[in-house]
Amino acid sequence: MSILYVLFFLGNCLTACQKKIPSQSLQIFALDTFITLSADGNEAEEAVKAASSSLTALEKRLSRHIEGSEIDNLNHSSFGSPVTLSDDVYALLSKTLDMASKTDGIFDPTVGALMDVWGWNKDPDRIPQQDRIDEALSTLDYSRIHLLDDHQAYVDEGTIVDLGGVAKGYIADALMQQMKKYDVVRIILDLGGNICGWAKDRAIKVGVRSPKEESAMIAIVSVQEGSVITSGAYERYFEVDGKRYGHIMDTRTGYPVESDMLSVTVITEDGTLGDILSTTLFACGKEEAMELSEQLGVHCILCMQDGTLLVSEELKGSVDAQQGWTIQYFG
Amino acid sequence: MRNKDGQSNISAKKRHYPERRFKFASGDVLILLAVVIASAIMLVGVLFYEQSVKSKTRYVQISMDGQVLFKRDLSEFEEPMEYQLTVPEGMMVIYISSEEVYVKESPCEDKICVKEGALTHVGDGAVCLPNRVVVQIVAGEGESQKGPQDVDAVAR
Repeated sequence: MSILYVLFFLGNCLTACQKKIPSQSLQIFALDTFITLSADGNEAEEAVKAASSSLTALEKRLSRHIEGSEIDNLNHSSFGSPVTLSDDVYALLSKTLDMASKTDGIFDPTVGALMDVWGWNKDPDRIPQQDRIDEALSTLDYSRIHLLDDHQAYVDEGTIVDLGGVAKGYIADALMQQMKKYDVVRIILDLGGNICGWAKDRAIKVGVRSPKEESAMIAIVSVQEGSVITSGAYERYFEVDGKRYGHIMDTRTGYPVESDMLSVTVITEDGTLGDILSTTLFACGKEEAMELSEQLGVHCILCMQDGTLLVSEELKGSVDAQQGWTIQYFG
Repeated sequence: MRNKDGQSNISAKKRHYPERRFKFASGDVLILLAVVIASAIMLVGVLFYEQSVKSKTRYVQISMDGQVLFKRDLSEFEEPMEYQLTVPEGMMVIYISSEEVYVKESPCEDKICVKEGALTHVGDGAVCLPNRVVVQIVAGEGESQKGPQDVDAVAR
């Protein structure tokens, strides 16, 4: 009789293996990047469709480049005519200002004017004149955003709020929460390289792209649920006289960050925080990045020029270094 | 050392143990049979999996504005070709061979798509944001779209 049970069990396993789980994937251009929304499960199609609609709606509220968005309205506000923000945009701005304060302004959402001066939205092949950089810097200070009661807010004249450094993480979190309400077993959101993933009953494996070699990875990270977000200057940059200028701006100097690291990867359940901190830690430099990540309890991989990966102690067992890279734990 | 009959001393000194005959109980036979069948099924499973991974078909897929314009099995490219695509900013040239695909020329400012370099594995892709073009290596219908080492996605 026992053998019958064994055969019955194995038969079931094989049937389960062969049973095809519905899978759905959608690729779209939004948030000034390329996005892939994927899900597996009986309601994968519905989940992806709903996420796609939400993505469009959230972009319409958060992008400063869309006329009439809440952030565009905020950028046209003043002391005399504040704007009323929705609950979630107000909450996101509060969190953003809190992080700007905790990072001592290294992360600053009022970076809009500086991004425009450097032309990161178009014509990036030039270095701006110093007086234009100085002018942009004079508008760059998170204390120039004023959150009032009743969800009202305004900015000081000239200040341009740009949530480019936080919106993708925030939106990924929102979409993930929404998609998990459907009958799905796996969700992978790729927002321009920011990965947010979840799977029922197994860990997600996320590769971290090598800043030195295309198509190669420095490590593979296993996460139960959460975001894996990388920042570096190896993809979006331009060169003038052999010098590389990356797109992450140093809010103190007004020039692109010159980091002693090749890239920073933050692994966190809070995508909003991860998005903010991957950029901030990269801008900080190695020593300060290690200190700040410990202080804020965020786990990260700091990719160094010499092939060392400085990895938070808490990630022991979840990070698998790839060929040519060596892990050193800290914390 | 051998004795005069050419037999080894060891066999000559063979000790006699009390005879103990092993007898299979019916339950033992069933368990053994179950183990053998389970092992055979697992072996077939592993071989099948390895075969499916090795034989994953690689397609080059070029799309613009979400519309797939070109999709071909890479193994068909005995001779490399250059696919020319008219995009909003001008002309884009994509090199395709049986081994690799890459964006050779692009009229865009930042050239991120060109910097992406060679695409060789399923899951690799180059994106030109200004022209809304995506060049990808994808697996065939029904095959896993996961990248090398079975990663679910790549952070960059």
